[in-house]
Amino acid sequence: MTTWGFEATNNAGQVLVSSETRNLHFVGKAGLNRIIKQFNGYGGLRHYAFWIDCEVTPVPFFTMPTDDYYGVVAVKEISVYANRKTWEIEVIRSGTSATVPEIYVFADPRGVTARNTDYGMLVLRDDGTPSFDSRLGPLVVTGGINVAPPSNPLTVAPPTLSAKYCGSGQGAADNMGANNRNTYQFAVPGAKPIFFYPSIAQAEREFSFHEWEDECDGFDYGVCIGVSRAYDWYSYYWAFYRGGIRYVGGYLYAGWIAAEFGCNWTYRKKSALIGIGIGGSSGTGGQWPYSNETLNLTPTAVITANGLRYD
Amino acid sequence: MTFGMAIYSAAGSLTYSSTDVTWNQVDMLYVPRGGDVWKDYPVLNGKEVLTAQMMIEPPPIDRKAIAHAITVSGTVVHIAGGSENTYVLILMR
Repeated sequence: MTTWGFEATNNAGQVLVSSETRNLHFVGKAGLNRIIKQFNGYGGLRHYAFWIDCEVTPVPFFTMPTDDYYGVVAVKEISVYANRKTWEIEVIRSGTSATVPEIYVFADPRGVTARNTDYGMLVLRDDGTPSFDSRLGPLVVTGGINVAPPSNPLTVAPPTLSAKYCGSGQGAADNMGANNRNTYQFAVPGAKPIFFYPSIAQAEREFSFHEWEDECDGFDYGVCIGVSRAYDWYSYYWAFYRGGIRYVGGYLYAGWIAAEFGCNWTYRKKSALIGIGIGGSSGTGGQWPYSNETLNLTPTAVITANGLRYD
Repeated sequence: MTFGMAIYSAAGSLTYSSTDVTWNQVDMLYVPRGGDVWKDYPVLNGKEVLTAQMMIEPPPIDRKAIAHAITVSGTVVHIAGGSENTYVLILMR
């Protein structure tokens, strides 16, 4: 520390308050603005948008009211109103429950303007801006851990699906929900655990299926004597996953949440007369993902606190 | 407690004390896609450091969304290599 200012440490020698940094303080709970996307197959998805006003970049924590996977996928300033900064926090959750998580937002004390009393302790930085303000609900951390999901969201490939025109949409939805995870023994104290976890990891998995048929109008002696048609169908079923965490019974699981899915198909017909090609046709349809790989598996920090302290 | 610091609210409830644990925000940086940021924070000297990044737009499905690589060497934080606009949170205790 410099020779001036204020610094308080806890019993472990860790910094609690420092006039050279800024503590995170409770801004409030972000309100649910809308559900951006949802589906029930592929393990289920609820993609929420929460809004909150805050003068600086917010740090969102979420509750996990169900046994599903959760993660924060985006934080952006949208400023829909004049004279104040509004932020949209996007949270994803697996599963199909209608229960919505609560979003506790923290920020440095410049982000909080409502001080309800003159009683407390205020620490300022050398520029006169606040570093710590006991009136604003300073963040008290209850735990932390670095986690990463496994590379592959799926432990088993789906069963054979139709190759014709992506005809097994339901089969893909039933069999491509993420089922792989890493497990961490991690007990979170406090009656109402809240979690900071930005979802950075992403993965895409695809499975291709091929079917073909040969038709012969004439005599088929292994070689068609007459007019023949050869059909090929390909379907590429894919799902796109983002990292998520789940907390149940003293264990934290780092896994995956299906965030998008689709299928691309191709069809080709070749016609021939006594083995001599006389034309054909082809077609394709459906959405195609970028690639079949996993990104951003660097361990991500999970920070926990007790939400009850800020209710 | 018999030693340390305790801060109470106007209502008399304990707000913060030296038995608590926290992470202090050193900086919240905006790092654009393709950005390469070096920054020295002398306050990190001898402290435990934690970093986290939050993408500003959710990762798209039609291209790779590569996270920034964040390294901390002494008091210097280096952030680079990401393909998305990102907020990087730098914490210490």
